[in-house]
Amino acid sequence: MLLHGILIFLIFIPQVFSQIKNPVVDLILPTETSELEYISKKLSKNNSFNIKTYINALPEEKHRGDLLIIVSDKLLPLMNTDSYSAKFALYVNSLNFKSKKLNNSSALFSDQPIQRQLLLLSHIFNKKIIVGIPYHNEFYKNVLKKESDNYSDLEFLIVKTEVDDIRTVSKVIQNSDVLLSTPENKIYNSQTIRSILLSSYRHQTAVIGPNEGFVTAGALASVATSSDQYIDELITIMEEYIKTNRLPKPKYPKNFVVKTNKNVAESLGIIISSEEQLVKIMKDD
Amino acid sequence: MSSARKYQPFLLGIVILNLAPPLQANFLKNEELPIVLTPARLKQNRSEVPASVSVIDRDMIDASGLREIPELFRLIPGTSVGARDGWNYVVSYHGSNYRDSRRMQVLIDGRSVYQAGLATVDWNDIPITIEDIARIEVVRGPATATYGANAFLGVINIITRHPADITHLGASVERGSEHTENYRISHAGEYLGGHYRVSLASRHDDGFDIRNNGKERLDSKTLQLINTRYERQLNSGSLSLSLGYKEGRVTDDYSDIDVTSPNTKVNDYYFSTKFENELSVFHHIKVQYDFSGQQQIHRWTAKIPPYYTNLNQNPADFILVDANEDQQVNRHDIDFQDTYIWNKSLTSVAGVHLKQSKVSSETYYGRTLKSNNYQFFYNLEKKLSTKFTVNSGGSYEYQKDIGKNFSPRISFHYHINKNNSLRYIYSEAIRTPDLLETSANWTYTGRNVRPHNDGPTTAILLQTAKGNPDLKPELIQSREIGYYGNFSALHLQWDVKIFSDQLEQLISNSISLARFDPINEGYLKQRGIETEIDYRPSHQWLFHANYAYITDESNTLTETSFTPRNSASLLLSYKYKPDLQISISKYYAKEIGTAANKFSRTGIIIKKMIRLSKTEIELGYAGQYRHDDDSELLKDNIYSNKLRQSVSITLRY
Repeated sequence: MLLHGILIFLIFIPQVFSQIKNPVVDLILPTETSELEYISKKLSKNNSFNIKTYINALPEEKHRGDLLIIVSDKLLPLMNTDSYSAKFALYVNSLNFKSKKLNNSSALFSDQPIQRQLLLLSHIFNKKIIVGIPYHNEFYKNVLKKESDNYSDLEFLIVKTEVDDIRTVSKVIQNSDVLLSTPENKIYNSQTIRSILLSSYRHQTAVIGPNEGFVTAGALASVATSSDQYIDELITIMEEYIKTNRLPKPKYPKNFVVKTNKNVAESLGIIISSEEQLVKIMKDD
Repeated sequence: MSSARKYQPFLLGIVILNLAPPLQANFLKNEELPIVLTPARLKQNRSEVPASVSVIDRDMIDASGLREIPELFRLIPGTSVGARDGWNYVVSYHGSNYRDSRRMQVLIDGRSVYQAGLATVDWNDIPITIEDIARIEVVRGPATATYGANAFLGVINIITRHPADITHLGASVERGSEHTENYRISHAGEYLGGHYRVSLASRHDDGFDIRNNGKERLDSKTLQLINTRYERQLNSGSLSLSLGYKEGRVTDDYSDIDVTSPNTKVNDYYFSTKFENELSVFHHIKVQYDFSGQQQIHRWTAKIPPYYTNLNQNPADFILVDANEDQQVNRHDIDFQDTYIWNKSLTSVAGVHLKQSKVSSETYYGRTLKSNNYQFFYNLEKKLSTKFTVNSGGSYEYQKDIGKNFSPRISFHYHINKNNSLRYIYSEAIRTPDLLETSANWTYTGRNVRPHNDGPTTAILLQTAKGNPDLKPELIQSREIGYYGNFSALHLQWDVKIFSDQLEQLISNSISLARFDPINEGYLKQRGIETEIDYRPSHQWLFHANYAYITDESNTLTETSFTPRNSASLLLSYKYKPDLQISISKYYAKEIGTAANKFSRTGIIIKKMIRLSKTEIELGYAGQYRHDDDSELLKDNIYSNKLRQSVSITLRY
C-alpha cells in the first residue's frame, strides 16, 4: 500500500511541478470552428506551455495567463494590452501588423513574401518575360525594385494602383506575360477576383499568387503555408521565447508548399512541374 | 443516362481533386473566393482543338496598320481577300467564287453577321471599326458541327474589346490618299457594377480612282456608326449587352441607262444579349439572343426605250422612269449552348440554334419572305489516352423547302507532347441556298414615267428573273492532316495543314437580272498545303508569316477565279522601346480575279508615342505600295498611284 502511494507520488509530483513551472498561454480565436479548434488542440499537446482557449475576447484581468496568442487580423486590437509579458499574432497580414507598432509583440504572417512568389514565378517561366505587378502600398514597389536586379531574364512592369481599380490592373495584364499579385486586399478581393481572373484569361496572362484561394479560383500558381506548418512554426517560436526569453522578430512563415492549377496551365499551354518538384527547386535555390 | 452513372466515381474524384478548400479556409473563412476559371469555362488548348485555327490578335492588328477589317484576313493562310468596289470586300478561305462572301460564317461576339436573306456578308455594313476588335479567331475548314449552317469553308470569329480593357477616353483622326478621312472617339466606364464602352466613328474614302477605260471610278463610301457593349459579372455567370447603329452611303458607276447617280443609302442596326452561367464547375451554359436588320435605299432615274417595258404603245424613243432596289432584311437568332465535363476524359458541347430571317423588297421579291431554320449541334471530346484524343461532332439542320441535313465532323489528335500535336480531320458542311437564289421574283417597276403621252405612269420591265425553288444545299467534304507546335520557350508557334476538299452542288452562276439561273451544277476540287509561323522572341519583336499553295479543278471558271495558286503574307514589327514602332508587311497572291491578276503589296507603318502624365498621344504614318501593274480583282479597280499613304493622330486618356 505504501509502495503504491510512493509510486503514485513519483508519477504525479513531477507533473504537478511542471504544471506550475510551465507558462500559461491565452489563445484567443476569432470564432468557434472546428478548423480553429484544431489549432488549440495541437498547441495543447505541447509540453512547454499550457493553453487556455477563449473566443473573440481576452479573459478577465485576474484570469489572464503569462503569454498571449491571437489569431487573425480581426483580433489585432486585443494586442493593445500590457497584461502579458509577450504577445504573439498568428495569421495576420504583415503590413497591417507592422502598422500597429505593438510593443512586446511578435507575429507569424498570413501573407507570403513577394520575393518567394517571384522565385516561384521564375522557376515556372524559364524564359524572358514581362512580369506585371500592380501595387498599392509603396512597400511592394521598393522590395521588387531591389529584387529585380536578381532576375536578369525578367522585365518588371510595376504600376501604382488605387483601391479596386480594375482598369489599371487590366492594363497591366494586357502589357505583361505574367501577373504577380501582391497580398493586398485592396486590389485582390472577392469583389475584384472575377474581373481580374477573367481579364487575365482573356489576354492569356497567367496569374501568380497571392494565396491558395486564388489558385483554386483560377490563378496559375502560388506559394502557401499549410495549417500544420503554421502551427509547428508557432510552437517553435513559443518554445524559443520560453527558453531564451528573447522575443523573435515578426516574420513570414518559413515553410511553404506550392499550389498549381493544372486545368489553367493546360488551357494556357503552359508546361508546369509538379508542386513537390517546384518546392524542391525553390528550396535548393 | 447509363454513361452518366458509369462515370460517377470519376466525377466525384475530380470534385475532390479540384475543390479541396484552400488552406486559409482551414484557419479562417474570412473570404470565400468563387471559382472563376472553372474547368467548363476553360477553352481547349490550340493543340487540342478539332480544327485548324488561326488567330489575329491586337498586336498584329496594330502592327499591320490596316484600316479595313476584311484586309486583315490577308494574314490568314489560304484566305483570299479582294475588293469588288472600294467599299465592297469579298473574303473567302480557299477563295472559290469571288462574287460574294457567302461561304463563310462571320460572327461578332457570337452574333452572326451573315445575311441569310441575301446569302452574303456585307463587310462594309458591320457597325464596328477595326479599333473595336480585340482578336479574331479563324477556323480554317468546314465547321458546321459547331457553328451551324454557312460555316461552309470556315468561320471568322471577331471578338470585340472588353469594356474593361480600354482607356476611359480615346480619340483619333486619320487623313490619307483617296480622300480618306476617318474620325473616331470612344469612351469606357463603370455602370451598375459592370463595365461599358461606347464608340462613335465617321469614315470616308473615294475608293478606286480609275476604270479600265481611264474614266473616273465612282465607288466612294461615307459612313457614321455608333456601337456599345456592356459587361457585368454575376454571382456565377455574366451578362453582356451590345447594340449598334450604322448609316452609310456608297456611290457606284453609272450604267448605260442610268440618268441619276445609282447611289445607295444603307442603315444597319443590331442588338445582342448574352447570358452565361455556371451550374457547377463542370457545367457551363450560354444563352444568346441577337437581332439585326438592314434597310437599303437605292433609288435612281433610268432612261430606257419603252419597248423594254409593258408600255410599248408609248411613242417616245426613250422614257425616263424612277426605279428602286430598296430592300429590308432582318434576322432573329436564339442560341443555347451547354458545356459539360463528364469526367477527366470526356467533355461534351451541345446546343440548339433557331434562326428566323425576313426579307422584303419590291424589286427582288415583289413581297415579304420569311424563312425559319432549326439546328441542333454537338461535339464530344474523348481523351483515349494522354497521347490520343478523338472529337466527334455533328450538326442536324432543318429548313422548310430545303429539308433535313446532317453534317458530321470527326477528328483524331496525336499528342507528340503537350504542346505538339498531329491532327486528322474529316468534315462535311452545307451551305443553304439563300432566299434570293430560291425565291427571287426579280423585276423593276418604273414609276413617274415621262413623257407618259397620256398613257400609264407606271412601267414594268419585261425582263424578269425567278428563283429556283428546287435548289439543294451546296456540299463540301474536307479532309486534312495538320501539325501544330507551340515552342513556348522560344515564343514560336508553327502550324502546317495538308488538305483535300471536294465541293459539290455548287451554285456558281452570276446573280444578275440578265443571267439569273441558279442551279446546283458546279463542282470544285481543291488540294494544297498551307503553313503559318508566329514568332515573338520578345515584346519588341513580332514576326508572323504564312504561305499557301492550292491546286484546283472545276467545271466552271467562276469557282477557280478567286483561288490563287500561291499566296503568302509576312508581318514584321519592331518596337524601339518605349515609344517608337516600325513594321513592314508584305502580301502576295497570284493569280486572283477575273483577269488572272497578280497582287503584290508592301506596307510600312511608323508610330511615335508621346506620353504626358495620364495622356498618351500616338502619331502614325502608314504607306502601301503596289509592286505590280494589275488591277485589283476586277478590271475596273485601279488606283492611279502605286503609293497610298495616310497619317493619323490618336489620343488616349
